[in-house]
Amino acid sequence: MRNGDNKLKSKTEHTQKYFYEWHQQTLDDETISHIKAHLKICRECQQYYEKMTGVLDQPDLSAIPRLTPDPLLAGKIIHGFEHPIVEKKINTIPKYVRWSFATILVVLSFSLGIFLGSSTFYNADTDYESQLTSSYYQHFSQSSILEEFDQIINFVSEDQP
Amino acid sequence: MKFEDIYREYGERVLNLAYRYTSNSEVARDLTQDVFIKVYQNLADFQNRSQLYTWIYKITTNHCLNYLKRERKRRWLSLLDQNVSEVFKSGTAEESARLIQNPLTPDQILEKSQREKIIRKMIDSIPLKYRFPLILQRYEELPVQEIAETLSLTVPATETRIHRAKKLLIKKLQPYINQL
Repeated sequence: MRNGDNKLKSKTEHTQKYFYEWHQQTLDDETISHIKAHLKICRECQQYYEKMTGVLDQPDLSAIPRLTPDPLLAGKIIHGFEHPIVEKKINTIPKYVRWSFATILVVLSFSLGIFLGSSTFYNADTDYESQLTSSYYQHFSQSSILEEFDQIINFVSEDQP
Repeated sequence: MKFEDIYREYGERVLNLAYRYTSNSEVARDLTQDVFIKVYQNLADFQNRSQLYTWIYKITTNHCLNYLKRERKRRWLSLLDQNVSEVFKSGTAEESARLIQNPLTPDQILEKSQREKIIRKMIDSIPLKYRFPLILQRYEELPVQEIAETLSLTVPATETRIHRAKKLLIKKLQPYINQL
């Protein structure tokens, strides 16, 4: 053998593990003669060597089916490049434009809210306007019916002896 | 050379090479289409530095290699999504286990008793880096120099890979020696 560490001890020893080196002709003369002697007396190893030699040296290409190519493929490829299918663009607005538009809308909404809120505040500049405003709020600060009812009850109860 | 002539000349070889690499006729047809699209796109850039068929073989090999790597990753990721019982029931797991350890069941051997089919199955279970040079040598009958060029390897590295592939093949075929 190439390394000389795996020599056959006797011709009765099975030789299957040396097959690949034997097939590649990398064994030394002594090992080869041992293998030859063994193959003469061992039917099992002989069959093994024959079959494995067949496996490596005689691939049966007919056993594997051969595929037939599509005769129109070349034409299809050329046609595909010469007449590319134009994809219909569904979303034509770029993303950054959409985001900018949304931001502007939000800012405008806030601005409008602030403007509307500030416009509800009323400033009284003249005396007349001040009187009008105070009478207006007085109207809202009038006692409720329940408070009036409570006052009547108290009044009545005070009158009683 | 016109594209139609190239396809007429190499279409069958590319299709069958892709079929040898993937063992799936539908996938091989899809990959062949992709290969020839690439050939059509890059034909103007082809500088005649290598032979035309070596260039096309290189594209085919790279394309098939990428496909098989993607497929292997997808298969393992799909295993992660399943629980253990599903894994053992599913064909994917059987297929993965078959490829890892026990390449053929006895029933399959009886069905596919032809020697080359068994050999083909065993070749499919060899790691990609050894399988591709072996396929190119065994089925395409390319010389080592051209295999090295196709796979972008040195000649000694290619020879080593072919040797290892053959050794692995022999090892994997040992349990089936009676069926060969």
